[in-house]
Amino acid sequence: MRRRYLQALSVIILVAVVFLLLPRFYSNQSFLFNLMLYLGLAEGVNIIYGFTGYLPFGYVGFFGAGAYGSAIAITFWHISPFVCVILGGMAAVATGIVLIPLLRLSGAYFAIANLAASQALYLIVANPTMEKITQGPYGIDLSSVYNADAGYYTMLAVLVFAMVVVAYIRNSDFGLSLLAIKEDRVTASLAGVNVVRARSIAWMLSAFVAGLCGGAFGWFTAVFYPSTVFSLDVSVFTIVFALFGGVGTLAGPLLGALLLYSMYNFIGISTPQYFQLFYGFLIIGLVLFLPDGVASILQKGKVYVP
Amino acid sequence: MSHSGKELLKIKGLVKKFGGFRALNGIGMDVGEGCIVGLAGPNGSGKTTLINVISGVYRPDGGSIEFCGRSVYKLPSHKIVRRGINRTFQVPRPLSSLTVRETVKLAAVYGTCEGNKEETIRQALEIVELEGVKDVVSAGLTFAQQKMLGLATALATKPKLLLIDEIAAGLSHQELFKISQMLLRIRNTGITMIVVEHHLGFIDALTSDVVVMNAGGNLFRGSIQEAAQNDEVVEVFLGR
Amino acid sequence: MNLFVYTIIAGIMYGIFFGLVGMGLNIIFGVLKMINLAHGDFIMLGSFLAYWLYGFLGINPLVAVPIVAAVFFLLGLPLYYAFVPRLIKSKDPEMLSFILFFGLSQVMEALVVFFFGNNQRSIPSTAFGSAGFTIFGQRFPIAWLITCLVALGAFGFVYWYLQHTRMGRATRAVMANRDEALVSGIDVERISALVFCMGLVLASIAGIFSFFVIGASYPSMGAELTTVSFAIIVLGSLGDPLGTILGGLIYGVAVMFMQSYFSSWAEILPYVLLIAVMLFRPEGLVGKAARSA
Repeated sequence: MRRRYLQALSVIILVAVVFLLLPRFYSNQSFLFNLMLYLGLAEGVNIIYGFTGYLPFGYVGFFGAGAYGSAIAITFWHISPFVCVILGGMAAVATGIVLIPLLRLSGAYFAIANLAASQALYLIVANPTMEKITQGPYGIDLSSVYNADAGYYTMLAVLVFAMVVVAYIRNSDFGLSLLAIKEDRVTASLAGVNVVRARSIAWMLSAFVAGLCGGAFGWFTAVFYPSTVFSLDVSVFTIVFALFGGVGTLAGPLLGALLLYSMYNFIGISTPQYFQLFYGFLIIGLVLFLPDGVASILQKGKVYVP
Repeated sequence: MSHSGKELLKIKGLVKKFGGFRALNGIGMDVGEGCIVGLAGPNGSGKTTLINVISGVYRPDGGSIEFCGRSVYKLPSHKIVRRGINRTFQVPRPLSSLTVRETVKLAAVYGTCEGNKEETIRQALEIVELEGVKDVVSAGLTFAQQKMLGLATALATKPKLLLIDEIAAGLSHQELFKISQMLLRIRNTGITMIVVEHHLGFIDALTSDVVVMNAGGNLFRGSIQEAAQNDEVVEVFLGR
Repeated sequence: MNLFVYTIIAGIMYGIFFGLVGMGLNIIFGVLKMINLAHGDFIMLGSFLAYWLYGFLGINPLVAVPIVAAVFFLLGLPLYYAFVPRLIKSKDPEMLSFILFFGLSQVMEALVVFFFGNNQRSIPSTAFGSAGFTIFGQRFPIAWLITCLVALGAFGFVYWYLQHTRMGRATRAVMANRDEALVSGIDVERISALVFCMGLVLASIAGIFSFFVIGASYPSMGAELTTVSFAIIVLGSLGDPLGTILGGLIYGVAVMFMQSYFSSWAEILPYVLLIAVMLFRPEGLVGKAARSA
């Protein structure tokens, strides 16, 4: 057990050191930030999908709630943006609490209801009648507190937090109870697991990570629109990155996000339809040939993936 | 019948509806501490539904369930388990991706606050003789082993009352004998049991205290031999 | 009062069209118990095909119906045999099919961008002439009437197929219980393939007429249409094709009321309806399987 914690710890330290040092050698800070963002989001999806089996198709709702929660706190209260990022995380948790009843739905029904919830939240935030609070469709401008470096290191802290949460779940009794819920809720509850509480905690942790990511994104970007931070693409990218790498492990989603986001950056930004085509085929191929992700190839070879 | 005089479980007028159908229709029964009660009845008489309601898998629609003098009526499963009731399933419901040891550990950690966890896990695996496969993933077990894993999981929560649902179904003769011996050993550690069974010979080997259900209610209570003389019991069993 | 009457009539016509929008998704769900997450993209693709037929070959949308239907039927067969049998055998058909069809929707969207560019396209409603028609003193474009008639024709076809053909009776048996149908000697595989293709055909026909009811088409419109369709079939009754019409009508009238009286919040309606129905009326409208614990 201790050995597994040490393996997880070394993965976390490796990732943290790489992102601490890389800016000295590689000047595209925005790429590095977005890469960290997707690593963090993929681990966030991993918490809820990898361990409890709920596919959060509306995961972007938490991201948007975090971005807006944090931005609104900065705009109205003029407190430290760092504190506001945490408040953004709390805003996502609050959204998660409102959506807890959705966890009663199973499988694809949950996924669609969650998607609908994120769209509803988007339409509320972007509604012109909300202009006094959210600026409606006109977007948020945080250029008065703009600080790219601070935003970058905040994102790094968020990523480390997300990895620590996943490492804990992967190796703890709590994580075991989540996996049990994923397999069979009745058997889990007869083992004494409080199913409703455990899955709600996982849900809120997952929301918290996305909210922190959203808050950090808002600070780093300074100017954003509801259509950016509530874009369905964020949910989709995150889920496919995590699936591709292999959910239920710490390293899988990191690997998936690293490979695919880099590829997106390479071909996706200039010619999005090529990437979308590749991406669509990749998803189909994954489902048909590798439903448990890249990590499962190693696991079949009896290699332990942290 | 080793009635120590103390009633562990008291059920009165229990009702469970599925739409318009009353699967349980006013059944009641008392179970004394340290006893094994056999629960018999024709198909569809509500035996498994009763187990599901007592263990909190289904929510009842009326009546009362008292355990150790406190109501467990409508409590969620995990609370019922922590009060000291657990059960097995006729068709095992393994946690496929978890190993045997992980499954039992989960129950030892979440199902009880008593005792040393490692010791509880070891004992549970020893009673059901699964030590040899403790690191095998549940999906890789045989049907009989999965049933034993279900029993071990229930035992690891340190129950006072164990509800055994048709454990004999689908098992061979030798396995049956082994299991009845195993259940008697478990009873001797002080665990009370309700054993649902089709196989009357199996019940006979365990206890002389049998409750016969019909249409969700009580029909008869007594020994198997007495039941065989009872016209009503004979009619519901043979009338089908 | 005038606005009220207009809202009701427009809502009914709008609802009939949206019944057609949801129909294809629902019959596929009924038979395969899979959610075709690319449903909205098939609608989108149908509309682009109709646009191309009209714009480049001058084919009237009404004439395009059999052409588009044939194309989508033939498109459905390879898609069915490439994916569905494998999915049914997989360890989690419900979830994996959901993800796979999502992948398919991405491929379709990208291909449409390749061929048509990332622009809005439309067929002018004058394709059917500029005449209008009047109901209870309210005037509507003729294109709405034609759309409603086509949708009603499609419902009639589905009803006839299910109630009065041998394949249709077998289809109902598969919808009720796939395993039992299999045991009783029904060629479940063939029926599944046929219904899958029919689902795509119905989606594509909805696509042809979407120009006149919804407006211009664009490659990324699929996701929203899928969500709306899902809201409609959940409102009606999941897996019951004819319930879709009811779902469409409720949706259509509700949307028109929102647009007439609370226009700034109209867009949010399908999402709120979807969540509310799934949470509060699951037994009647979704069935037991959708909820647990």
